[in-house]
Amino acid sequence: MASIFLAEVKKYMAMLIDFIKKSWLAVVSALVFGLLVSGVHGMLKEEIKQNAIDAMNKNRVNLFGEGCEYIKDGDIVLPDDSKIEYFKAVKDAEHVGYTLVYSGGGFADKITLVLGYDKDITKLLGYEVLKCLETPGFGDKIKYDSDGEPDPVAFFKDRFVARSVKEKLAVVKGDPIKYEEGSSVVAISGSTISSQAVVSIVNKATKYLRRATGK
Amino acid sequence: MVYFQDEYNMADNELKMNVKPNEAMMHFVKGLWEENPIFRQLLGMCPVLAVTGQLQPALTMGAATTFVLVCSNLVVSFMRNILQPHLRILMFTITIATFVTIADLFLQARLPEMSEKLGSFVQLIIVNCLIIGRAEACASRKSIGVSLFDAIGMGIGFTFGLCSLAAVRELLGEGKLFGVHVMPDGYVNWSVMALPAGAFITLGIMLGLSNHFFGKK
Repeated sequence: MASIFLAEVKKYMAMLIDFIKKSWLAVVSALVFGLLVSGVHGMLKEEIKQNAIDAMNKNRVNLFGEGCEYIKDGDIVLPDDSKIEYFKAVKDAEHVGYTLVYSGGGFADKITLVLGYDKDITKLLGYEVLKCLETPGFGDKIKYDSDGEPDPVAFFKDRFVARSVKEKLAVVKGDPIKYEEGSSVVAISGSTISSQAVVSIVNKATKYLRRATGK
Repeated sequence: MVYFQDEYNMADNELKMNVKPNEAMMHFVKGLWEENPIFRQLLGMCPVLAVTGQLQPALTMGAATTFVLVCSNLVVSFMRNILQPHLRILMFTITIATFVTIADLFLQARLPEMSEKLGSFVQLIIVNCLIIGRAEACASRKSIGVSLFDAIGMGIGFTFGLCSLAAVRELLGEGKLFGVHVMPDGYVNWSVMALPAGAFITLGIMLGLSNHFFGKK
């Protein structure tokens, strides 16, 4: 009986040794590489975090100007149960508006925008692009404003500055000078999907923000 | 498959022969043009078509790929004598994935704009067959020195290929080079060059030209 037991133990020991012989390199390498990646991540994570904060601050300054504080006001619960934070913009102890980050599907990938509203959520102050991989020369025109150019209406982003959002915005095609009125937003020529994506993000963000704030 | 088989045979023959003293330099030079990953081997076509719209992202992608290639070749060459056949592909993949993750983190921290522009194509370096191909054909068979020079040569060759395509596309598509306007006023941008179709057209023409003028008869 004992000899059978010993033979079994020997058999399993041999299997174990064989397993270790065959796989030790993978196990050791995974450990070493894992440590290496976590070390590099540890070294760089603060910089990555700071980059994200800087990008967000720069975008918020473009929307609300210098000297604003952003205080978390609550969470928007989306239909898929995910949550989005929204912030109150406060300048000199006065509530001047709301801001939030909202994403939606674009032509190439998700488009992520920072949106700024007035305090009654009746007017969009504008948007800034946090992430956009739309086609250079076409869809990526959603990123640019006039920046002192003589014809601001030719720039898509300018069409959203101080825009009334009492009604849902809708994309139309044509000459921006003729058709830019009411709730119509003229699409970028050749980039209808990107234009629709931005308008859809603005509409959804407005709807959810109003619902969350009760306005 | 034929390519890998040829490489195997070539590497076996070289092992049987006495190793040439200038082997490292020979590998380095080969990668620049004779075995250029893009124009000669047609490897790594995903970034070639996807990130060559402008010079800056193309250069960044080339640098990131060269970094991963050098590091993976060094590590694979270092462990080549203890590498068991059944673990080969697994070890290559773990090694490449590690250095791609490091390159990605570095770009996010130090070059956030480029990281955003390149998007998921940095992570996709993991599946760039140039890197696993060099690990298999060279690094797992050659000394560390030879593997290092091979990786540098291939990396420079790959970066050169990306940048040459990107220069043509950015110049014709946007009238710019490295984001600076260089075309005369009145030049109408040839927008199709900025689109995926422009990548295929440029690559096709450049491959045709390189085969016509430098191709083996």
